[in-house]
Amino acid sequence: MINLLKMDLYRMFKNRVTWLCILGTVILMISSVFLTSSDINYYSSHQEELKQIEANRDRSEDWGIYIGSVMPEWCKDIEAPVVALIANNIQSKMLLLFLVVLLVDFVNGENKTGFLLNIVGQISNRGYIIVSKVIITAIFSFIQLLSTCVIIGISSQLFLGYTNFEGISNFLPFISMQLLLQIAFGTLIIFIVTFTKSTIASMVIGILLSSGIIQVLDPIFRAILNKSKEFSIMYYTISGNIGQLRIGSSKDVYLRSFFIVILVLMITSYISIYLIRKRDVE
Amino acid sequence: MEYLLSTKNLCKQYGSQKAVDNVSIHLRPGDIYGFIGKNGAGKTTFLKMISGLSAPSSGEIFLFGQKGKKINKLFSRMGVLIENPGVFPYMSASENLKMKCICVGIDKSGYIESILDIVGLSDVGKKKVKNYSIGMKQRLGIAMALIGEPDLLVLDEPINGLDPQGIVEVRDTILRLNKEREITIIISSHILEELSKIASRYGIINEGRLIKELTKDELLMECSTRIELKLLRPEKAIPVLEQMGYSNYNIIDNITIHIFERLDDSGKIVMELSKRLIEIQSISVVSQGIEDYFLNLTGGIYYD
Repeated sequence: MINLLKMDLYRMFKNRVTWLCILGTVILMISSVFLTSSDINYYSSHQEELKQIEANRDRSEDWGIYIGSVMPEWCKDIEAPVVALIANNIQSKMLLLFLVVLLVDFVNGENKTGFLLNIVGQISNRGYIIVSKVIITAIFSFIQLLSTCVIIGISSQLFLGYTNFEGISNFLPFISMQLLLQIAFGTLIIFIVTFTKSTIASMVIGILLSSGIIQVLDPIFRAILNKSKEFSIMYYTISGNIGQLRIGSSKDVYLRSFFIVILVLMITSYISIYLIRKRDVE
Repeated sequence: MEYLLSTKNLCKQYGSQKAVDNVSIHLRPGDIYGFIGKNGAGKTTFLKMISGLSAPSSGEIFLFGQKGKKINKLFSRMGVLIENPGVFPYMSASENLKMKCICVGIDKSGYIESILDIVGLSDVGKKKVKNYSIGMKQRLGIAMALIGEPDLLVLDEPINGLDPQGIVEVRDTILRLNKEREITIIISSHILEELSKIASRYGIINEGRLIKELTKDELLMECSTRIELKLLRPEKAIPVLEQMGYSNYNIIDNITIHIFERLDDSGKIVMELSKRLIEIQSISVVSQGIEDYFLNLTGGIYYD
C-alpha cells in the first residue's frame, strides 16, 4: 500500500497536469483578488449600486461557480480580512474545477495507458489502488488550499494594499472542513472515473457537479417532500456545502457538512473498491 | 513441480458467448510456450486469466504448484505485457520503469539501467516515450514486465506491428531472457513463422478452444515432407515396410502412416503392398509449411 502511494506521488509530481492545475489555481486566485479590489474601488464611488448589492445580500444562495466576490462593508473603509477573501474563493468552487481536471486525468491515466496491467499482479489487494487515489486527492487538495491561502495573502497586499488577519482564530475549523469536503468531492470523482472509465464523461459530470447542476432537481424534491422554496437539495450535496460553509457558520452547518463528508467518502470509496476488485482489468 | 503453469478446463464467458472454452495447457519450467491462434481466437482473454487480470468463469489455474486463492500472491512472480505496453507517454523509459520499481519495492542503484540494457534501450532511457518507435515501445513493455525478476513472462503479441528489424530485436531479447535468465515464457502471436523460431512448445487455440498442444519436435514432424500412406489395415503394412528397410515412420491414426525417408520410393511401396494383397486407399508425398499446418487445424485463414 505504501509503495503504491509512493508510486502515485511520484507520478503526480511528474505529471504536467498537476502543475498546470496548481498554476491555474494560482492565476485564478490572483485574478479573483484583483477583481475584488476593482469592485471595491468601483462600489466605493457608486453608492447607489452599493446599496443595491446590500439589499440583494443573503437573498439567495449562490450554488454556481464564480470569481471575484465583494462584501458591501469592504467598500466602506473596512479592510477585507484575508480569511474572508480565502473563504469566498474556496466557496466559489473554482478549486473544485481544477481538482476534477487533475483527478480525471490522474485516475483514468492508468486505465487509458494500460499501466494498470503492469501493477495489478504486484499488489495483494486491488482496493489499495482506490485508497491511494483518495490519499492523493487529500494531498493535492491540501497543496491547493495552502497555495490559495498564500497567494491570496500576497495578492491582498499587492492589490488592496493591506493584509488584514482579522478572524484568523476561527479559520482553522473552516479550512479543515473545506479540506474534508474537497477530499469527499474528489472521492466522488474517483468513483465516477472508475465507473465510467471515460475521460470526457467523467470530466463533464465532474464540472457539472461542481457548478451545482443538481439544483435543477430542486422543484422535483420540493414537490415530493412538500418543502418550501427555501429548500434546496444543494444543502445535502458536497459542492452545495462547499458553497454554503462559512467561517462563522453554525455548529449545525459544520455537523451537516461532516456527516455528508463521511457518507460520501464511505459510499463512493466502497463502490469504487468493489468495482476495481470485481472487474476485469482491460 | 512438473509444470510451472497449467490450466484445467479454463473458461471465460461473456453473456452467452464463450471467449475461452475449456482450455487446458501445460507449461514446464524453462519453456517458451507459443500460444497460437487467429485474431479473436481468445488468446488475450486466456492470457489475462492466467495473469490474474481477469477472473475465469470456470476452470482451474495451477501456478507454481498452487491453485485456488493461494495463487493470488503468486501473480507477483509474473511479468506481463498484454496488448500494448502500459507506459505513460509523457515520461521517459527510466521514469516509467522507476514507477514499477517503486510499486514492487525495488530501490537498487543501477537496476533500471540493467533492465534497459537487457532490452537494448540503455541509450534512449531518458527520452520521452511518446517519441519512441513501436518497436522501442514493445521492448520497453518487456522491460516493464521484467521488473521484479519474474519467473514467468506473459507476452501477448509482442511482435505485432513491428518491422522486420524490430521483430528480430524482440525475438533475440526473448531468447536471451529464456537462456540467460532461465525465465519461462508464454508468448502469443498469429505470426506463426516467427513463433516457430523461438517456441519450444505450442498451444493452438481456435474459437476459444485449444485444438492441439505439441512440442517443437512434434510440430517439425508434422510439417516435414513425408509419404502419407492411407490404408484400411495399417498394422498389416508395418512388417512389409520394415522388411523394405523403413524405420523412420509414424502411425498417425487407424488409417494413416507417415514415412519420413526415401521419399522417392513410393512406387516400390505400392508394388510391395500390392504383392501382399494389402489394399491402399491413397499414397502421396505431402509437404506442408507451418502456416499450412495451422491453417488445416484451424480450418481457415489465420491472418486478418
